[in-house]
Amino acid sequence: MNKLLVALFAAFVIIQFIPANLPVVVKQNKDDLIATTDVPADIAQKLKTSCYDCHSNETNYPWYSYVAPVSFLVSRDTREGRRKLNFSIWNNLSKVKKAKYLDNINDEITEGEMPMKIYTYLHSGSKLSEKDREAIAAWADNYAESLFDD
Amino acid sequence: MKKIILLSAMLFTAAIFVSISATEDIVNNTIPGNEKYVVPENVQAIIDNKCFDCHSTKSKNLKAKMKLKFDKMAHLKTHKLLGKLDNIAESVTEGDMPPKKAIKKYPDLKLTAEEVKTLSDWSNGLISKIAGE
Repeated sequence: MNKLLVALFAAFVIIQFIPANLPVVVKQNKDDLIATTDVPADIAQKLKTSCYDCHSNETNYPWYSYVAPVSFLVSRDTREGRRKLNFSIWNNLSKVKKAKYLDNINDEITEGEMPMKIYTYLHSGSKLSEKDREAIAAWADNYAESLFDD
Repeated sequence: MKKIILLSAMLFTAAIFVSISATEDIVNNTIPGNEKYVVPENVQAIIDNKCFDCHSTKSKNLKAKMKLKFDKMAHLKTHKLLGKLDNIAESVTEGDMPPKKAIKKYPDLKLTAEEVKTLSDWSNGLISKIAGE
């Protein structure tokens, strides 16, 4: 039993030396959605607390995200999140791309698929209520509609 | 008797007109309500064979159905239509659709390289036509 514990601890120490390559944090982004677009304050605040850690370059890494093996998961999820949608480059996107992302936001938020469960579990303030979801979905749809003349 | 003949002649003529307009609908594949959404026959064939079972109003796959219903595309507002079209182009090009799980179960669902090109060219072509981008 003691041997097992020692082995586990040794493994834990060793994996700390494997680089997790957490995506780089950039706090000021000139093409950021909220910085460049007229997003209502309550929506902007919800996006910041519930989405921006993975879907922007402004990630706030909690202390445990530097500890392996959690760091590996955080690294992967953040990278994947930014790849799928990055609010920090918003103003560079074409109207069609914006419409696509807004449509996806609408779907994911309405379906309750985002934010990911593991994220809301660890960040209690990031949980979205039904009302929050409706507000974000409505914002996304109105914003997308305003980009085109029907 | 004459009346009956006249009546049936009229009905016959009417039927011909109805069938002609119905055929025209199928040929153009435009659905009344949105003339912007045009699906050529070769594209429609791919959609019918490889996408429609999950992405239609009658689908039992709720998630797929919520994301995209090909039989409702023509009724979407411009911003929604463009969003869906761009998603179609992206997901077939990146090989995310049809889902790997579905292909494992039904290998025939896999899109050939040519079908991927046909679908993405169609989506991107429609996008440029509608959005001018």
